[in-house]
Amino acid sequence: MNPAEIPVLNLLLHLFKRLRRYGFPLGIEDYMLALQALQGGFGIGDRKALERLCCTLWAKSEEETRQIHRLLNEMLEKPDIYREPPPDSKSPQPVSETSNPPPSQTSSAKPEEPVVSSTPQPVHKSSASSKSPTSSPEPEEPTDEPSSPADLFPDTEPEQVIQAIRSSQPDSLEMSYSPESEDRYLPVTSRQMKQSWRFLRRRVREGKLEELDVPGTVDKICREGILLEPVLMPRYSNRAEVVLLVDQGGSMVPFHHLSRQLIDKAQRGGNIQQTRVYYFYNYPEKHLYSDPTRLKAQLVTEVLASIGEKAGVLIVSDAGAARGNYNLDRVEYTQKFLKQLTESVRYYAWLNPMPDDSWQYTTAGEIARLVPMFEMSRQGLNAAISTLRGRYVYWEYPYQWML
Amino acid sequence: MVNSVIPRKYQGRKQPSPEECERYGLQPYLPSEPLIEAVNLTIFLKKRPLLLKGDPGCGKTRLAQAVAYELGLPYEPWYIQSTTKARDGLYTYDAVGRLHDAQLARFDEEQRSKVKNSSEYIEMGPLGRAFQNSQRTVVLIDEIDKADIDFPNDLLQALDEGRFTIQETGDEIKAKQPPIIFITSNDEKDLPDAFLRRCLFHYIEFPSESKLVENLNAHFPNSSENVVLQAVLRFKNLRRQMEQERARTGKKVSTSELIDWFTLLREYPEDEVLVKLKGELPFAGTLLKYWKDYQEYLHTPVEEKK
Repeated sequence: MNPAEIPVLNLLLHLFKRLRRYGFPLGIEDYMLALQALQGGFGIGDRKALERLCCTLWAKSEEETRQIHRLLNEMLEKPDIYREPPPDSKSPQPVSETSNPPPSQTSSAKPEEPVVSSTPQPVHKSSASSKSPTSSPEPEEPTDEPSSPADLFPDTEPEQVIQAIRSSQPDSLEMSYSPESEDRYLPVTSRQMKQSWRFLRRRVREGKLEELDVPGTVDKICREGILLEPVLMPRYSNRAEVVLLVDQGGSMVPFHHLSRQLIDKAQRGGNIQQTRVYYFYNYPEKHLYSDPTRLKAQLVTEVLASIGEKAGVLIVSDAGAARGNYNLDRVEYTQKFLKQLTESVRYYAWLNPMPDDSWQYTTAGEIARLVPMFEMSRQGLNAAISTLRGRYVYWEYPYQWML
Repeated sequence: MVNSVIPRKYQGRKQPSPEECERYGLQPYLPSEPLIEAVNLTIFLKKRPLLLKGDPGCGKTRLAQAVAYELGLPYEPWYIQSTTKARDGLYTYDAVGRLHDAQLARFDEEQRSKVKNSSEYIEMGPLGRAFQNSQRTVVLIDEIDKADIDFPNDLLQALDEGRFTIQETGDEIKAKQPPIIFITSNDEKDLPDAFLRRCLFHYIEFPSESKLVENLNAHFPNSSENVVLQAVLRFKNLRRQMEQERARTGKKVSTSELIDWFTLLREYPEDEVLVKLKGELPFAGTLLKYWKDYQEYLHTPVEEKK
């Protein structure tokens, strides 16, 4: 291959590695495909052509396209990053043999990841990153700083979630936050939410008659002696309905990111036929609100009456666990609401963004005795969703500390 | 066969003549430069389908047909509905028909031999036909996000390996030529990561003013230059206003609506149209679809009137 092109390949390799670190689901195959395309004459010429190639190959949404654009800008502003191979990766060699990448390339990409997550100043890093692109203390990761995580994750909310949970667990002080590894420390990632929602199914046959009803047809043949017309039935489709009741404001503020993700994934990511969302503050008293700012009120009784018998109701609230005290009023009001709820709805569960070992001695601990309550972790979410499917086994002491 | 070895370059230049448009329901299609490149990459790499996203009405669906037309390749559209199963695109097996024939076979010798052969009851779907065709086939999988969320994953094997097995007969169908696959999505549902990973992606941007003028000229070859320009300007203003006010949410006017709108406009004499374009938005029904839009956009903004 023409050696003059090597800077391009080098740039490509760096871009590829960075994207991987940002969680783009890319594999060796995707990189090889880029090389193949380059050999075919794509992406050669100017920077824009290269960017277009990378976007077509590696981006899967408009946001990702913009992310690639920004990363490429950064890397081109600081050409030394990709012209001189960084000490830990021998990039010129792997890229010159395009046909089969030596294993060293992969192994050099992997060890970099721990370096990022071990930077111990979680909070300062994200706040400082937005201002100075010039000061870069680590030579290996010089481009990490300017790639302001504020852009990748437009708010610092994930951080809030992590801190709020951490404050209740004094023994996990070393838990650190870095934008790239944010997903690892969130109690449940948006992708996991999407996966969990998929389990919420209530399959009903409806629509036009398409499938053969075998027992029905056999039955008919037996009755009539000959098959005149087969018996058909509609295909299955998912009729799962879910109503989310979300505690908004107050002690829930740090968890808004989580509840928003949960709502978004229920509405878009899954196959739930209908998702409705209502908001309340601390506990629903008389009204539920159909907007997060709690302006459009609706009577609780009306809302409950409008929920179908087979819909699942999921309450998202910390139930006072974030404050960590015991509030008898709150328990009583919640109890009142739950009574109303259970009278009109069959499937319901409570999802608490605080970990379950922090509920003891708090309002949440008391409420957890009244309703199937789960922490917002992968397991908790799955348990809550199977509860909504009607698979909850009642047990007096679901958590050990209740004994 | 030689043709299929060298990747044929799609250039987006060859447009159907008015007669062809009439006869085959074709329409001129003017792709942007980046889009042409993405299409060529898809053709070149062979392995991966091209996933197209963009505003409704920006020409996602129509691209596939345009590519097939220019390259002179067979075209297989597959429109997805909420009940579509992945297997429907590969083949369908008419079990009911066979059962029915089996009943009659008692009286009919000819029927009996047909019934014994289960492959008589297999009908290939769009992808199945594309696999069997010895020419490279352009396949359109339209609005994949409408289907059940398992749908894309069920398609993976067929797309990945270019083969599938007909379970009823045990036959394996292998792609003679890798089809050129275009997939469109309106982003109503997220697609599974495993599926996304295997796609190329292109976001179709809203065309520039000059592209819109070109587009109208291609659709309506004999229209007056001035009318086209004025219509595009008015349209572009409306679009800009909508973009500012609703940013990324809400429906904005699209290229396809522009074409509908212009179809109406050109029914009128030139001077009349020019007068109409200066005043209240003419034929607003083709562009504004909500009552709220009527209230907001029917009149040109005050500062532009001056």
